[in-house]
Amino acid sequence: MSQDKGDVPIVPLHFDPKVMEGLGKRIRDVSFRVFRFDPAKGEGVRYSDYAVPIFKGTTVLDALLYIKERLDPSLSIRYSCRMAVCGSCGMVINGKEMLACKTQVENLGKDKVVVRPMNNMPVTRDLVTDFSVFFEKHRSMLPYIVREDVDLNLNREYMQKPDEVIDFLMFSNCIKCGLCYSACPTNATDEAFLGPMAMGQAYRYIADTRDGAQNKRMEVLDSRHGLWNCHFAGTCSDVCPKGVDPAFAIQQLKALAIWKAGTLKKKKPAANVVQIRELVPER
Amino acid sequence: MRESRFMLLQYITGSGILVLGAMHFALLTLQPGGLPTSLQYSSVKSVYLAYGLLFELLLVLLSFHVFNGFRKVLIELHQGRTYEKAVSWLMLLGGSVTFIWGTLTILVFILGVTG
Repeated sequence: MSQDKGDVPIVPLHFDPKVMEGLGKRIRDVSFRVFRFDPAKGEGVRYSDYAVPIFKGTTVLDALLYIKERLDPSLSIRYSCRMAVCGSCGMVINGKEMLACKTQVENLGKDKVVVRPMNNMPVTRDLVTDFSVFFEKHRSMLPYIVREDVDLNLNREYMQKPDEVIDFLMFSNCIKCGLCYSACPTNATDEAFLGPMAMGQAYRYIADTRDGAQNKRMEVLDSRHGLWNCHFAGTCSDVCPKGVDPAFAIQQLKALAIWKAGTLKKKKPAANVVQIRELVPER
Repeated sequence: MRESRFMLLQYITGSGILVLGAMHFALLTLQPGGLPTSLQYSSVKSVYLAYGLLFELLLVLLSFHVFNGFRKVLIELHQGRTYEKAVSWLMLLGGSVTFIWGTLTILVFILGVTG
């Protein structure tokens, strides 16, 4: 087991013992077992063990940063916002996909925490995974509003009713953290499978009345490794830290695809552009 | 053909198999005397044409449903353009052979009964 030797020259402010006192009483030490892999060294996968002091509110990310700053500077982690917004610190904690910054060690209720990188993505180093394919699949969904009548005239806007916003609002909360992709059992066997995030985002734009690229997206979705390989295991929705329900989106897209296959009915045209002055009389 | 068309057919054939399978089961068991007498020559002869048509339709539905389902499973387990093309053609061949073999069997059954 690695130990804190006290020889780390720079101790960040938030790990200053005095600051730590401000966090309250040290609850206990928790054993962290962390996945280690460095392709540059040509070594295989191994796990390193560390003892980390836990205070009230200590997150897994705090603990990993403690390890990196006090115990083992060679540990690689990806993180940024520390508030479950950027989606950078996704990892598998005690067997379940979670954001390290959103997961408090005490809430895990275990004396031993096993941390490993997300599944279904190549590991770059330690807990850092390569998102390239994940984002390529996202890009293939045209994750933006597409219209033929693009008009950058600021006197115009695309009108939408509140009910129409609700149709896709939940899916706008996706932070592209990749937890759903990691938890998806289909992604584990079918590496070409688009994955829950990409399809959830496709639904986000297809359900948007301002958008006009449903057919383009359906061409990709309705392919061999698209919608129909989803078995509705629901793990994507289960692990989402933002409460998004990609499984629901995929079922909606399946229904739409079947409907189109059976009736050849096209989606209603995108919402019309409305002049602002029609709504607000000029003074 | 798009996957949604395949899946639409998969759902339709699946539903059809349920209905025809239930009819097949009913024909076997709901006859006077039940299952023990259902395969007696006289019992079969009384319904041979209906049996033949039912089996032929069931065969069509099963040939598509089974081999299309198998194709989806195999493509999900392994990927690659050549592999996927090979699987698709192999399943088409398998479905066709099953259909032809089954149809011949049904014809022999009907002709045998009528003959």
